[in-house]
Amino acid sequence: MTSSTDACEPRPALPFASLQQQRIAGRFGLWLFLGNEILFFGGFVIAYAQGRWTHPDAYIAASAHTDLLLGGIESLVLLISSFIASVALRSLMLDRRRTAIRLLLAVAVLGLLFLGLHGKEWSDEIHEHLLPGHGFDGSGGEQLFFFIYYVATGFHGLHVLIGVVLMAVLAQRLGQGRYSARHHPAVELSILYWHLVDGVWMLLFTLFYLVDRT
Amino acid sequence: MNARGPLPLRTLVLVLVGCLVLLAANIGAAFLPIGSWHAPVSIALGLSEAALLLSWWMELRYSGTLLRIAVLLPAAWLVLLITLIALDDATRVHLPPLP
Repeated sequence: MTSSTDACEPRPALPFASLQQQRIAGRFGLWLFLGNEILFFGGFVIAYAQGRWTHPDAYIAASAHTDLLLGGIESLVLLISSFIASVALRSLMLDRRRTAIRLLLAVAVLGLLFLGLHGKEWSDEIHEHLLPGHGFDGSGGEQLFFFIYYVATGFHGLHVLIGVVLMAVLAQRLGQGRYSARHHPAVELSILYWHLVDGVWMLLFTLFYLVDRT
Repeated sequence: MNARGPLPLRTLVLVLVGCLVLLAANIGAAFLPIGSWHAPVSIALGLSEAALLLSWWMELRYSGTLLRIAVLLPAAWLVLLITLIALDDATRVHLPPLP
């Protein structure tokens, strides 16, 4: 493993004049991307709100079918993974590279655990005939709820999967000594992305599992 | 490196505890007999959790004004879209079905 005090000092990528300028531009660019992500998931929120407005009773009935225990555990897993990601970044900044690698791998494992738990939840719901289409056991409004639920949580799951791959790749590259305590834009930006994935889940969990649970 | 340096571990832990408390409160509130207050209370707790995450772990509170605007604008667009859709739905005249 390469020491953080690499022989060659990190240099800014073109067209940046300094590492600090590159970092600011990178963060700004990622936040613009995250803003787009907010709008992307916002579309599902709007669809949810519109459906709830027109089918309030069906939404209450449909929400009762979601697994609050599993959903709660998934929230806990993502929250803890986000915390570990923050600690990983802190470790890297303090030049504790081995710790950072282990923590990034822990984040990836927790992401996979989240996907496994959510897959189990989907599987249970499909067995309960809650997949929209022929054979759906419920009203049209309940079907609409589950349609939005599957699409929104499916896209969220895809984001988690991308995050898992990112964390694994970052851990590998850290092991190869590609990032230093002084310059690690890919790590910082990927962890920002992971936090957003966590934040989006908090909103989806609230909407699909909690708002209409009476 | 971040010009400000790494966040203290204590701060990171405090944010985690805050998020866990809000998550527990949100789940608990779902079982309270508060009727139509369920939705606003749940959404407020969920958004508070997200705000905690955005401010501290995502370090928005240490960011410049331009970056904050870049984050707030999409959120403002979203609120505008939801408001306009709600207004459209609330004021739409529903015609009786054709004979």
